[in-house]
Amino acid sequence: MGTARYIARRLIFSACLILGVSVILFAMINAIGNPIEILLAERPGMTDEVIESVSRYYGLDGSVTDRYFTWLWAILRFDFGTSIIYNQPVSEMLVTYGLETLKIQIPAILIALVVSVLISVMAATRQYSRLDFGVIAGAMLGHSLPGFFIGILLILVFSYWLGILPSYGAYSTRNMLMNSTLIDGLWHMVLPVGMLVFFNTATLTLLMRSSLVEVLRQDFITAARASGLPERRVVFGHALRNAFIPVLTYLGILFGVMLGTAPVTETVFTWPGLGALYIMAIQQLDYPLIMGETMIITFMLVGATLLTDIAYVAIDPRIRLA
Amino acid sequence: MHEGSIPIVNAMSDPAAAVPVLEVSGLRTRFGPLRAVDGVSFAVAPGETLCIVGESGSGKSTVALSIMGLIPPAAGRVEAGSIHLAGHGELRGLADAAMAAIRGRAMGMIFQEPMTSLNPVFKVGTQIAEVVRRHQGMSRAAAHDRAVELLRLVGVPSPQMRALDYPHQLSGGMRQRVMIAMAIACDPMLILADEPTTALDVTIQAQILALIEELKQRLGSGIVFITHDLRVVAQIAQTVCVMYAGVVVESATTRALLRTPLHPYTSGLMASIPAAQPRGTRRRLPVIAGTVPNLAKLPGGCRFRSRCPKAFDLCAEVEPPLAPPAKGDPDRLVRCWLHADGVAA
Repeated sequence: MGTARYIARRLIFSACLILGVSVILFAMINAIGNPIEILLAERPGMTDEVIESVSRYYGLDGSVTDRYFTWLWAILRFDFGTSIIYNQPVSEMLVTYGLETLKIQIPAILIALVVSVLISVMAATRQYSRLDFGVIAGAMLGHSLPGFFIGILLILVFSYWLGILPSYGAYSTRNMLMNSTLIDGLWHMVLPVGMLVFFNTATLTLLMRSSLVEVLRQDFITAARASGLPERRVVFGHALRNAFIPVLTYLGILFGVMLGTAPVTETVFTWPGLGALYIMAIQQLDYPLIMGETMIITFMLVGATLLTDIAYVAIDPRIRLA
Repeated sequence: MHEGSIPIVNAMSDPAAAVPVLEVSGLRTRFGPLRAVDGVSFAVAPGETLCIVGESGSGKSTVALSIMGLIPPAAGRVEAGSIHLAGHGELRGLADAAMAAIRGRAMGMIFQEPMTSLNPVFKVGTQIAEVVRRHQGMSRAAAHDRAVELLRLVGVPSPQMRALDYPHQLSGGMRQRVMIAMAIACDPMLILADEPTTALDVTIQAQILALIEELKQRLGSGIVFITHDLRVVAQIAQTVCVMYAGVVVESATTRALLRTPLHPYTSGLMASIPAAQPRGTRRRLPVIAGTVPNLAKLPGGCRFRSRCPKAFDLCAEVEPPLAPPAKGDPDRLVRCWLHADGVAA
């Protein structure tokens, strides 16, 4: 079967890709130098013996290749070592912080998808109308606004002026809303999700609208109308599925990189997610954390790309896997 | 002749043909400043094939889209005239939903480009079945069976299997057969064919023409066949309307038109059909010089006069009416001063 072979081949290719990323990542981190020296050498009263013993403790005394394979073997067992700054296992942190990021990213992408489909249909079926130009202008503006701006605006309106939504964190520290962890969590999600929805919707609408305008011009749309199908069926059944094909790539990437793409949102709303953690890890040179996150994001992106390619076959019969 | 009147050109002596399936009169369709169709009238009887002939930009496709109610509202609109479909009355001014219910059921349309007129993401059987389900409320399974039957009817080999194919898996000729199957899915009384053979190989063209003829006999539908190819006209049409720059310039029975074309434009079209010539007698193929005038700023007088070899003073001043020729067959109509009563040329 062609599809099974295709997927097997892609899986092998993906494994090679991830391996390649791991080599480059390790080489780059190694090029920065011994983290122990960087972190401890400047401290007063530091002796060579201490540095040496701490280096040995972290396994930094071996050769580069030895250390790479030790690390590779460890990450294959989902062991990314211990964070230098937080003194916690990186794998645990990736899961805890990762889940918090997914909690705002997945709903944000899905909501944005639905909203942008509806807006795109309204705009594309009235091409060059005032509504259409309004949508294009709005989407362009939303696409180009700096991220923090909308976040701060949301906090100003809903937290400061109206006082109805929390401005930071994923949970209340003292009293849960309605004494329910679920409701309290959802309550905290509203603003960060809203901010992500805003940006995703802007970009997806730009893509989807132009794709839909293109498809609505096709002969088969006129032919579908000529066969008496109701307009709603023509647009949602015949046009949208074709219009979705070019959007799929972007959507795949959006899902693929979602673990690392919300640092601004997470920073503005003090959300305990991977994006903000990544920035912090880089600022503080927390090597195991940087490497762990990079590998997880690579893994997600490669997986999402593979899924996107498979989804193409499902949505467009002209594409055959080979 | 006045714009509002209905010149019915019908040479067939069959009395059953007296009640036309379609009567179009004084049709005007505009795209912004562009008067694409500027007062066109004709009628089609059951079992009759009417050909609309003209070069690109003459407005012939716009006529078909106007009848179907498929002029995109953002681009243009049918301004005036009447489109009367037997059993359904006046179509102009019908609400979108009412029009959609008639399209595909009472009238079917076949398009020029079979390669792009089928939705690439659905199986062809599904696309035919969708039309059947829409208009005849069949179950999914019954509609699929009907789709297979329709594919067999239009001469698609092993229709059971082809119904499960996607459009890209079929050749151009096969796709056009699928389009025809969709158009006739609900036994329409009127079939509009917009250059259905132009994009096909010559051998396939002949097959498709034969198929359309066969289906016409079987269904007894009236056909409006749009083409720029007078050889196609000779093969299939009983009556012909020649269009130029948005108006009918000549209409007659096929036999009469091909034997004695009256309008200089029709003569020009006929002269530009290449014919086999014996060695040594080869000559340049005559062409009609110039192009169709800009429909947004038509000059006064006859629309064809700038390209007409026989134009004289009157042609520049007054547009000739579409009227029976002064001499000869009173059933034909021609829009030319050369054939008008009391005008010496």
